[in-house]
Amino acid sequence: MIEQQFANEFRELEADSDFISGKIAEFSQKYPRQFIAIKDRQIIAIGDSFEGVLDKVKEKGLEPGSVLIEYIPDKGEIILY
Amino acid sequence: MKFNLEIRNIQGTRRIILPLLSTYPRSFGRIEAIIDTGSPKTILSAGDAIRLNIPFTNFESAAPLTGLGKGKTPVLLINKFTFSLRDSDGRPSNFLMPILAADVPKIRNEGQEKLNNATRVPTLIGMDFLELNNFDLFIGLNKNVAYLER
Repeated sequence: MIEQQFANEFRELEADSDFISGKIAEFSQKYPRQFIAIKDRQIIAIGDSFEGVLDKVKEKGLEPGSVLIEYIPDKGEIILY
Repeated sequence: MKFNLEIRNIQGTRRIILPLLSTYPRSFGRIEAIIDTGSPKTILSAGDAIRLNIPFTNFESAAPLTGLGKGKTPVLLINKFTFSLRDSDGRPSNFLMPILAADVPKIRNEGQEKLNNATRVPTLIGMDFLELNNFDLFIGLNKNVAYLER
């Protein structure tokens, strides 16, 4: 992959990551216990299972590796790893 | 060289996030990993492994992990995982290290609920990541600053 494409990938990744951070409180209100797929600072799929959301991403013709899929915890839900 | 980390406030708890690109052959893609100094190992999550189309049958099993979700979680060892980070000046740097990856086929065999739980857990950056790549980790929550340096 040429350097410019790499730079673009990183720019997009960081922008989508910033978008999630900025909106996470709103997402927690609207989509608790759901998975959301993000690309280009937009929610492109929502569902209650990871694989369901992944299927929707594929149905849209998008490359799964180019999309972030995030689990949105419920209010008061703290996930320990 | 400095690599900025993101501090995300999730339901009143703060997480330190490292955006990275998998450059593993035929598994290229974006990952948001969480810095977890409580984990000795770096673990590619079930969700990211599925999303990146990791070829599960190519790898050998490693000792199952305890404490990741409910019960024990089967994992595979990817000996030479490759990825890239972008430093604070915008330059990409490439890395190669062994990581563990959630063994999705085995988890799936244990039932859909187990898989659903596993996909809620993100990719975790463990202490081995810092040690093997000579990173120092700096976190200043009061200043809202976090970065890796080497």
